[in-house]
Amino acid sequence: MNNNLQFSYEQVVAAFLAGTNDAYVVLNNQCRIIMLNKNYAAFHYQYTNAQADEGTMYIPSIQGTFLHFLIETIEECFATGKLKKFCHKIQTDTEKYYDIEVNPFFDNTGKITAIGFGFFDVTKRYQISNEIQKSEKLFKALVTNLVDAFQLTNEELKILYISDSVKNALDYEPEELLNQYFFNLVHPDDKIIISKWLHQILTTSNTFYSTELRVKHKNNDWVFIEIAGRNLFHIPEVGAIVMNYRNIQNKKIAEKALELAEQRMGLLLNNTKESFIVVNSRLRIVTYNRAAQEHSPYFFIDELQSGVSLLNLIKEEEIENTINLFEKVFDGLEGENETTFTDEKNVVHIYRHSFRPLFSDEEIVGVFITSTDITERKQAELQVKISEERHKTIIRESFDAMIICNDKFIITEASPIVLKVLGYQPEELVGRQCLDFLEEHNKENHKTLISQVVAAPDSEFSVDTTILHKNGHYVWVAAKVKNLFHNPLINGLIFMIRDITNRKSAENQVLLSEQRFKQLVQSGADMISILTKEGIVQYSSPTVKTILGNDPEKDIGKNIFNYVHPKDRELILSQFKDMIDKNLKQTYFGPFRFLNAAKQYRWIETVATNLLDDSAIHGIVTNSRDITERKKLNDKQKALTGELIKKNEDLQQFSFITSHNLRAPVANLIGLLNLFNKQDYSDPFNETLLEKFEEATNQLSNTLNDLIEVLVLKSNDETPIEKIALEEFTQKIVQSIEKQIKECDAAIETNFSALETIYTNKIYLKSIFQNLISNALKYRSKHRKPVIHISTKIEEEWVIILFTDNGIGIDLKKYRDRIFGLYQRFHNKSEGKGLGLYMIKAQITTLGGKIEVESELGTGTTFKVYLKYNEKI
Amino acid sequence: MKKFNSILLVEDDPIAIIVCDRIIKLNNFTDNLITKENGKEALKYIQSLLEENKPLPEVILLDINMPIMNGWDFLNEYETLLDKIANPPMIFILSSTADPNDFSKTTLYNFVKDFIPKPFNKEHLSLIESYCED
Repeated sequence: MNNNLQFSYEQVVAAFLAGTNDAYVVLNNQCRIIMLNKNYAAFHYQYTNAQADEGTMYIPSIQGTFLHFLIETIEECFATGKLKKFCHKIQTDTEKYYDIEVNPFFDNTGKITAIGFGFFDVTKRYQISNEIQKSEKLFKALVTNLVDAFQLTNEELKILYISDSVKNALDYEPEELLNQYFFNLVHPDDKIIISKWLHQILTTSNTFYSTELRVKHKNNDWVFIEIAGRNLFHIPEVGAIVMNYRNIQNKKIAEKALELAEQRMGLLLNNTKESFIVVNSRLRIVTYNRAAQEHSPYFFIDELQSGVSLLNLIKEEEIENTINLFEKVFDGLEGENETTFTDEKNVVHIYRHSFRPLFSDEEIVGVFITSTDITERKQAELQVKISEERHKTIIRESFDAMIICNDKFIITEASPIVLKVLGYQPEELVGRQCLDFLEEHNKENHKTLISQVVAAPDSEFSVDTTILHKNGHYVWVAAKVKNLFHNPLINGLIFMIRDITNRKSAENQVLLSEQRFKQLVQSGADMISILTKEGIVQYSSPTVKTILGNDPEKDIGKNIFNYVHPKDRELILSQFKDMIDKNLKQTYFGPFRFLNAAKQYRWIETVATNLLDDSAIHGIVTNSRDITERKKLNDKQKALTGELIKKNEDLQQFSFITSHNLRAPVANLIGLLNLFNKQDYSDPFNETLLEKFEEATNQLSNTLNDLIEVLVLKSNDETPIEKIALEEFTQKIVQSIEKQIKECDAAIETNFSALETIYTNKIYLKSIFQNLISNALKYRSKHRKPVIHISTKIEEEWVIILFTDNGIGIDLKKYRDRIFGLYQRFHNKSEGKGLGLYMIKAQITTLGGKIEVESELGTGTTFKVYLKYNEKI
Repeated sequence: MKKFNSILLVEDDPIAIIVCDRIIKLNNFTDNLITKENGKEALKYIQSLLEENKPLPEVILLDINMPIMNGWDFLNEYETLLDKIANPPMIFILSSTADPNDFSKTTLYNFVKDFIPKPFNKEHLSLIESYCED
């Protein structure tokens, strides 16, 4: 500290100690407190449960608390004579951490005289850094313990990060490889592989590519690794190629042995027509025979190659099944599957593949796949099926009756089946006019159709119609007429006729129920729509037209939710989504607003039934009803009920208050009466009591008068409306209370330019003006000339009369709820009975208006009287 | 009859004050009846006693319907002072209210001993004394 300063050293320290937010204490060489601040005292008490004060001395034997540290520091400091400022962290039992700053104080000679300790709460900082450390540790542990080595490289394969697990894979320390080029580790023969692989990775982001190659082990051996890499340059936090690899050398050795064995078998295998493929335990192709090479284009989508994973060769949709199959095989079982492949010439190739495990020393090291072309067999099977189908068709066809007519429609021949279909023997029909068998109303139409067939050789037509059965009833038949006049064998019209009564009656039933359904939908009161699960209209019933005015046809294809009111849309959409997601059978959509053709919102209520799974509907069927009128009525009723409740509460409150106000003076009278000395009438106190009797009686009488006034107002429902010119009206009122205004030396200003005349009840308005003006006078400020400003304003459907004063104001925070209550008084200043504001509020309410108040204590108050704006009566 | 050192009456109605005052004096209930005409005045008085470290009155008789600060407002303010008061006075509500809400409200303040309907009479003195013996 500088002695030239105006303040003494002690003053500065004292000021600092008082001002800082940290705990601070200064100790001398005897560990005695020579200065401390409040914060330190609190800190000390918190952790030692003892009071600290100036002069308190710490005992050197103290252990365990932070005091121990203070004492040690002091002892060390005075022993060595010097101490650098440094920080120390303490942990207390409340899991709080403090940095302690140590500051030596020197005297003029440079000797240490005292040591100051500052305590700074760093708990928060400490906890945060602890959290970070924890998550980092977890991540590290994960990476280190992986079998796979894990590394990040740039596009030149320079290693930017490498996990500790590289030790597991290749025995290198991570530091040895960091910033090295991975390429240099790769076996010269495999450099091509890694280049290709790298190229794949660099050209596609985010996809994993894997390959196998040899790299140099720490012990200088070449070992096989399986490596997978992924381009993550697009992720800013990574910005590198991520790769992981594992040592597969042991497996490779086993595979080599396998390969040798396969080679020996190769000669034999290459001469068979069956395809043989051997894959290793990682499904990579080890070897295959010539047949496999020839046939594989018919079951693999890519070129068959050693080293390639089988999974890369098969169609994506087969991968899952194939993996399952392999799992089975690696469990020691055999498996089979079939592939179908269509080549460019649209020729189908079907192969059956069998999978057998390949053992080496009782361990499964690979799979032996045999593929056989079974296309022909399959096709033969298919042929059988087709001919069977044909046969069946022929049999069914024979149920048709056949009739041949000449160009005059006379029957020349009939097949025996006519007996079955129409009940006639064939010979009964020959020579008859075939049109005679038709129903009267069909004759003309059918004749025309048949004539058309007669006119055009080889032409034909089909019709479902009714024909007279021998039993006198008409039966439903499907008839096909063909012109075969050009065919010398036939030389006529051929009719194939099949009885379809059963089909027809079923159809009829469907038709009937459909009609019934339609009837319901179309003539019901409800609107019925079918929606897709996205809410697109697929069908709307005609009732939509009558109810909403929308054309049902035009609704189709539109999204129903676009018509829902924006305020309701979210809820309706979420309910709809819920219904679909949770597959709810039925959902009720509460009253919501829906836009009709006239662009008005109507209140709609809907019950939706989920028929997405129904093959006939495949949609959501909504059953909606316009409840606007009902809702209006309900709302009206609700409002009415609310009003009634409010009125009832008001009345109840009124009765409580009035009974209190009647009871108070009566209680006073009884109280006085009890005190009256009846034994000794000359008791001087009796005189006083008599005076008070009079006062209490007057009190009672006044209360009764007030109540009568309120009751009259409350029961009076006749409020004649008349035209009132506000300026003139105000002046009259001002005159009537002129004395009062003069006494206060008040000014009344008016500005009715916004509205000069209003239509309302004059008596009430007078009471409102009188009360508000005299209130303003009563609660005027002593410090200024009272000014009352009265003006009008129009706001929407309201006329507002504003009474603004510059009086003492009202504390609205406290009194807003009570200001218009009965017998509420907020100032002691005047003789207010607490009736005026209650009365005018009741009057304004009767007029269908409302009253609001704004006020600032000491500045003034504005009462706003809202009345319904009637331009004329 | 037990004699109290001091009693505070919070009441704005002059006749009610006279009735109370007379009954208390005739029965020698206390020599020191202090009257405050609303809650605010009463609160000011209690605060001044606390500041000067003077003993508080042993009983407070509290009216509800008063201008400026009514009985309920007083109780709410008083409640915030409670932990500063070593020997809190016994508070009795003294009112001619007819509102059932007022009766139930009384029970919300556990430091309010009882509700006394007006007019105040001699029997009420015994009631107050009975709380004193507890």
